[in-house]
Amino acid sequence: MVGSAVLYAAHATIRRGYAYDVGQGNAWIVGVGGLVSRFVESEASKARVAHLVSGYRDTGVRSSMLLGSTPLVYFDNTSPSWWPASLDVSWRVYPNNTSPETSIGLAFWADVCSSWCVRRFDDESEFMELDFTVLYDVANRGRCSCYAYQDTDPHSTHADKNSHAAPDDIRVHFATLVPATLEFC
Amino acid sequence: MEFLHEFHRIPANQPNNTHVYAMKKSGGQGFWIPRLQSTLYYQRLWQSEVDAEPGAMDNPNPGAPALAGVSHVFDEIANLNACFERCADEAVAAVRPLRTVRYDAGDRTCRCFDVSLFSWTFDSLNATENGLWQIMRGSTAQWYETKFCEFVRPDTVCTLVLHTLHSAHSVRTKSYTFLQIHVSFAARAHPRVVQEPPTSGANRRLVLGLAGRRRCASLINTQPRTTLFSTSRRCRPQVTSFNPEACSAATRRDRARR
Repeated sequence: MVGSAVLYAAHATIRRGYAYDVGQGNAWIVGVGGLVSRFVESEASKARVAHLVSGYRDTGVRSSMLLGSTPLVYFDNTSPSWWPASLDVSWRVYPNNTSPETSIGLAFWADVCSSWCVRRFDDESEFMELDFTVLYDVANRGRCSCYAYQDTDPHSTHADKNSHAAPDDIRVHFATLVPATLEFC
Repeated sequence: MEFLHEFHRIPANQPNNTHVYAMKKSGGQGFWIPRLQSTLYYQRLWQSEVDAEPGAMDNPNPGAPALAGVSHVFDEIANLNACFERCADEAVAAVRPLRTVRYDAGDRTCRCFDVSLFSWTFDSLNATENGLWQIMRGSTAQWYETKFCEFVRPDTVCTLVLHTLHSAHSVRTKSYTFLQIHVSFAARAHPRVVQEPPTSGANRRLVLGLAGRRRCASLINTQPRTTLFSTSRRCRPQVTSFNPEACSAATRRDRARR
């Protein structure tokens, strides 16, 4: 491979991580009367993810690939406005106060986001964006967005452009079985 | 990396705590069902003790939530695998999907659902999403998300479910005689019937497993009202009508490419 300025720029931008299983799957359940209201372990929410890039943001151009978004409710060491003042400060040890600044914390939120994407969009979701610069409310920071592999708008300028395949050994395996150009007539 | 082309770098003087990932849903476990010659894929919905009230599942009492999608309840089921088999049998016979299974080892009941309760919402406004679930201490129930649409052998590309809406006279047991499979396959690939069609009933169906690398598959049927569909993602695009002209054109294109 011949090095070039473009190559070096690409290396500086794309820091793709290895593919890994997100962990237990963290699905938020409200429950009857809101009495559950916690993250629960969910095997059906599990996904395999790989980090692509940090410090970049979808400015809306990819909206036709966007499947949906949800707040992440990251406390960021701030007492939630809805937390009763008469209670203690146990909100500090809630999972929602996990800092994404650490690798373990970021892995947790990636698990939360991928779980939501899987639960809401099943295997349609092939990319996700975690944006902790979004502030919805006091102690309600962070947004999870799920994206499809293909453009969902046939009139988009990107309609005929697919992205790369998601990192998955199973997909690689199936690639030998399922041709990309399945045609039924 | 087409996906990232329109992502913009956040200026250095602004918070830049954003991260983009590629992701892929986990496949789950597979359970081979010999009688159906198919594999049922399943994953547990929640950790232990997250359960729903039996009344909420089966009985729409006045004022109680009616849970849509319960297709069958079996009693005296010995274990989880037996539950999967009974639900799968029932789903295939009734021509309905199987999306959720609940097995309770305590009272040995097995419930089959034709809707996914994984992302189920309690009302049309999504105001009380997941309002079904409770923490029930000591519950022995296990909930599973299942994939009916992937009722295929691991070595099978995909399964097409053919619903024939003919009169009983036109179908009978000689379905194969007017079903001609015309497929442009690569070498050593061949269509394979993995399930016999039932001999009676309003909706007859024939499940065809198509193995190998397929370029173009068509089911040529002399009966114009036949419709094909599949909910399997591997079988996209979905087929809703028979179009022999389109198939011929695709076959020609395929041959030209080769």
